[in-house]
Amino acid sequence: MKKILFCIFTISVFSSCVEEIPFKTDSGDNLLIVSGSFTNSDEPQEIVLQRTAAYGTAPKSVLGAGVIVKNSKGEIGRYQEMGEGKYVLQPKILRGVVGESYHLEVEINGQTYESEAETMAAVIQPDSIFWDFGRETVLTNDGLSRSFDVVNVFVSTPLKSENKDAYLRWQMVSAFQFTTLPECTPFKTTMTCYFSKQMNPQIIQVASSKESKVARTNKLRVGFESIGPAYTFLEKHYFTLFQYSISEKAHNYWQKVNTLANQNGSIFDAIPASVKGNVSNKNNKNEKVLGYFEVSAVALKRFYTLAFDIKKGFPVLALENYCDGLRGFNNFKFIDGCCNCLDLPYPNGTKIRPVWW
Amino acid sequence: MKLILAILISLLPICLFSQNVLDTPVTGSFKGKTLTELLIFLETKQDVRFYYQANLLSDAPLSNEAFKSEKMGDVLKEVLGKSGLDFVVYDNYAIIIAKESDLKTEISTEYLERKESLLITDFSDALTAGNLDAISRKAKVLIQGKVIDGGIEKPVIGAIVAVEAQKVVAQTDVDGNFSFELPIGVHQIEVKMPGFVGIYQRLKVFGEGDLTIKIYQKSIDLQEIVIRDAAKRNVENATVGVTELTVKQIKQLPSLMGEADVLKSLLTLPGVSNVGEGGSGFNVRGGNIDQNLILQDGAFILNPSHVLGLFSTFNPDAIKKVTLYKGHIPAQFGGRTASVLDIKLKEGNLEEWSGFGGIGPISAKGLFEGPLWKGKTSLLIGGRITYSDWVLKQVDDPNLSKSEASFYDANVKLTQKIGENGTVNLSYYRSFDKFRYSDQFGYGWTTTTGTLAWNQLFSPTFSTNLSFVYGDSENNFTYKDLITEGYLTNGLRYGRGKLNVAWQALKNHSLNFGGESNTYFSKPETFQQKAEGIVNLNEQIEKSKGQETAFYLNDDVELTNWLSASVGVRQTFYRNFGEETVNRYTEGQPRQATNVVGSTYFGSGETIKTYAGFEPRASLAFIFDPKTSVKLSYNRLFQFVHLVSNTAAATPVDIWQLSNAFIAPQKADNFSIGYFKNFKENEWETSLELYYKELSNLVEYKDFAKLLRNKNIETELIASKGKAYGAEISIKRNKGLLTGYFSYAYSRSLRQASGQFEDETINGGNWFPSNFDKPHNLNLVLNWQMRKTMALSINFVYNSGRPVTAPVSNYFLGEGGVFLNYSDRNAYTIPDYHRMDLSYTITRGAVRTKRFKGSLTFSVYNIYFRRNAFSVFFKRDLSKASTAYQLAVLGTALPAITYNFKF
Repeated sequence: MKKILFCIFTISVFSSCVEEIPFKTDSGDNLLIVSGSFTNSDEPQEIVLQRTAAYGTAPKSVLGAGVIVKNSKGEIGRYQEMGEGKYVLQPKILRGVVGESYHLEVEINGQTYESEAETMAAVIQPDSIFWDFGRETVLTNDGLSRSFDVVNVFVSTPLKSENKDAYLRWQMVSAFQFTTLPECTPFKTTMTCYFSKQMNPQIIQVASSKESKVARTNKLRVGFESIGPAYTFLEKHYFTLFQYSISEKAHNYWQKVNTLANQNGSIFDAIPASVKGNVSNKNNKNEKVLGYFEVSAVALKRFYTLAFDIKKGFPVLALENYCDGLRGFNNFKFIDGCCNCLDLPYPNGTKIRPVWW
Repeated sequence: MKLILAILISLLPICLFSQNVLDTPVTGSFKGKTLTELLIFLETKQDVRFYYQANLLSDAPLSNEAFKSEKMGDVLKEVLGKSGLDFVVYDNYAIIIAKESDLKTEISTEYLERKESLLITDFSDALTAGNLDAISRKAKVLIQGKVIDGGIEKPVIGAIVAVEAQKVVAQTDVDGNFSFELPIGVHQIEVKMPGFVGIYQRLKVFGEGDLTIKIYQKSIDLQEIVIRDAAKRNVENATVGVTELTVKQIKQLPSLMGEADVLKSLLTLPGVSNVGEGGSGFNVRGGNIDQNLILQDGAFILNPSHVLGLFSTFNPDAIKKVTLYKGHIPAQFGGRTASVLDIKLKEGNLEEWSGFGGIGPISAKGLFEGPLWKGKTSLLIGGRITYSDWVLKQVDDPNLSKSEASFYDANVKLTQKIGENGTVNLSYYRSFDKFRYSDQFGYGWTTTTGTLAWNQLFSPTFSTNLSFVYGDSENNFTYKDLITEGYLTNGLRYGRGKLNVAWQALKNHSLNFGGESNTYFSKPETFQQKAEGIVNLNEQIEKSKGQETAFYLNDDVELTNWLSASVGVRQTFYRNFGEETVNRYTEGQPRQATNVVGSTYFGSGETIKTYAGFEPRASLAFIFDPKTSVKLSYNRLFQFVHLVSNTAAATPVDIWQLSNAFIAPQKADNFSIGYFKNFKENEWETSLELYYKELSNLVEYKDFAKLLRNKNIETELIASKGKAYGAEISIKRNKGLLTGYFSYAYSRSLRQASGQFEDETINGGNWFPSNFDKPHNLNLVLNWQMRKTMALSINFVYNSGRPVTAPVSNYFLGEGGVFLNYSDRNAYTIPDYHRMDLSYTITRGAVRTKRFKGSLTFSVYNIYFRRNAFSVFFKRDLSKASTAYQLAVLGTALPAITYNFKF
């Protein structure tokens, strides 16, 4: 009887479904997109210029543009074009300083685009970054829920700077190394590759003391990483937290972008809209320009885990060597990455060891 | 036929002395008309009634097509010509047309003496008042009668007894008695009473006398009388765009999970739609859901939905009548700009206890009514409750077993008779919903109302209704952002007082006048953090308070026999009052939180802002003949309470925002015109209605408006203009084994927001579709009474897809993958909605004397498994372009078996 009732109830209440549908819209509006940030870090600063493409196709890179960043003193940093719409500024040319204001100027085919000037906010150093084990449940596109084991990363940080409201954006990058089997070469040598990726790029994490009405957060989850594929946790696995102090306007911009990125069709979805950034055409104020030029100060924290740590959390998890299953049968050569780590089925691999590793 | 003639001819001596009616001049052109049409025309223009056997009249066009001031007698002689027909006049108003041979029958004393036995033989269903042997010579005689329940031989209180042709109506008192005057002759008498099978029967009046009429409680609820009456009202009633739904009609429709549903029934009417399963409320002629005034026994129902809109909160067993005003809204109603849904609940039976019950797949219901003090005091108590919560608890899945999905509603009504003509009702209503998925998210909302109403009939032409209402509506839900998590509650309390006086001042004037005062107290928006932290995040944001007072006068008047009207005026005053702190913003700057330059404190009860509105209302009906009319209406309406909701579809947990210093009242000017035509003795009812609306001060939202936990909510709202227009066609069959209706509506609903500043302008200031702009709306409802105890119903619905804002291009932002650039607001539409439902009902205990009656309904909702899109949304992909998805709230056919019973 219970089963019958449950079936009836399930059919009636949870018979909703999500399915992919064809949906045609206009053929795109060829809008300029300016995206990138200018920080106080020692890393090269990057700006990406694109033009929107028709819905369903990739955006087009903008080539041959002149890109400069200016501070309030009139000092200029000129970006160098790197191809595929990327323009890079080396920090030795112009380095971000907290308290200084900056704006971006882009020249394309005689049109000048300019961002609103933003002042670089003070760096807010996180107190600590830590992690634990967890289980994440997500709703898949077919409306079913799927659970998987994860490492959760948390931060404790002040949300205010000198007792003033501050606005923070977090970005997590995970990186791991993978070493090939010695059996692959006659001299038993090995090769190590390094892989990194942005964690949870679908979630844009921003917060402010003004909105949350707290001056400090003690255990804010800023990311999670799936324990899988297992080879990602066989050796050292780094987690790097970038904590950006941003402007209120940038905070609002990212909040809107995040809202759009996480629509699920429920009755509680906000009505979507085009997100207005902070760049405009000096010659034609009516031209719609997308993207945001963010001026921010960044603080960084990093930690790593080893296979030993992961096995403490998931004792039943089989963290055997990715290549071990076929060891002895000399078949490991056929497993991607076991002999050439760049063949590992994971993006952004490099044999160059990061300087901070 | 001969016998009918015999009755009428038997009365001839009375009228032979006065034949002035035949001297009445007739003017008109009747090109292509038949004799029948001429007679109908004469009936509408003159005080005359023709009696004839339809098959005797020729269908051929008249030979003489035009008459100019010719005497009616001459006209009749001419048109009857050589047809072998002749006529006689009775009582200077009734003209009998029959074969000459029949009319020339000599009426002898012997004939008069024996005809009564003939009458009894052949008119056994006819009621009789007076004595055939002593026919009164008076123009009118007093008929005193009593209506009793034939099943239990008890008086029926409140039954309507009417002789329509004589415009005579009476209501039975506590003893079932009624009285009125009628001319001598044969009439058609109607007796109507909710829950009983009505009577539409001949009544022979020979003189003053007593009459006893038996009616029987419904076992198979045919309600022919009600339908016939409604059909006539469709033509003759002065108000355009008014629809009455009977409980029978509501229950007949196939329904979701077998739950007869008031709101779902409304959705089958032209011009009424909603955003689909899962959307609460309903949209009328392009209006928002908050523009419908929903009244249940005079109490505002702010949230009429259970389970996020899958069911409505009204218990059909407790309902007496449902009336939707979507065109002309009489001056008695106000405060909303699109429609009035007036739901009247039953009063408990004063004579005996009875009950209703039902069991369905997810809920059960029951209703009991009966006397606490026979004939004086009655109680009605009913409710519905779901057992879905219990089912969830049985499930092994920890997420589901920790989830909740429950609702209930309850109605209690205590009725006390005060003397013979007074009634006091004390009502209580509560509706509750709770939905929680594991510990991840949850919502809940409750509505509570209490009503005290006193109805007093001081004379047959003068009555009053005084009512006081208290209402409380509260929402709560889990609020979660990156840092904080807790429970957010909001809501609205109100108190309401209304006095309505109904006065039949003159013969053709039916006045309603009075006043009402509604005081609203928005509940503070309260946030309570889930777990106690170092910092206390609990907060309370005060919301506006307001008082709306209105005085009105409405006159339903029959100006001539071809023109009737419902005209009225309503003067409304609104006051926003403290205690409240009101922000001040920099002049000439956008209204943003950053432009707050200070604030002003207003003490408790202190006036902050006032508004006033004059609301003329008028509806005219030009009645060309008893089956054809054209109606026009104009209404101005103001609305001071607004539902603030910046989601794709309104949710049950949205905020009710009162007009204040920043939010002006909505104003609507509504124009309607309708053509109504009935055919075949009102068996077929057709109509075409056109409407146009202009609205101002509608609440629209800035992009990504943040409405929750916002102390400056006015910074997120934009005042916009609106317009809506459309055409509605309806064809209805009221009688026969196969009944039903077809309707089609073309409607548009547009908005324009063109503010002083960029963020107050939407889509460049151009007109854009509102969220519920669905141009095409088609409904087909068929009810087939297969046998006395078996009925099949089919319902088909088609709606255009509603507007959506969709991505028009892609771009990358860092490593975050593809992001979407969206179109102008509501530039696209989601796929069209269509669905067919079916229900098959077997009624047992159809014998009307049987006490216990049950019915079993098999229903299938969405019979062809259509996955109708509730919404379309777009997911970006980290590596490729985004994809469109549709969410279908009900993605399958939903079968249900429901058992309903009555005792």
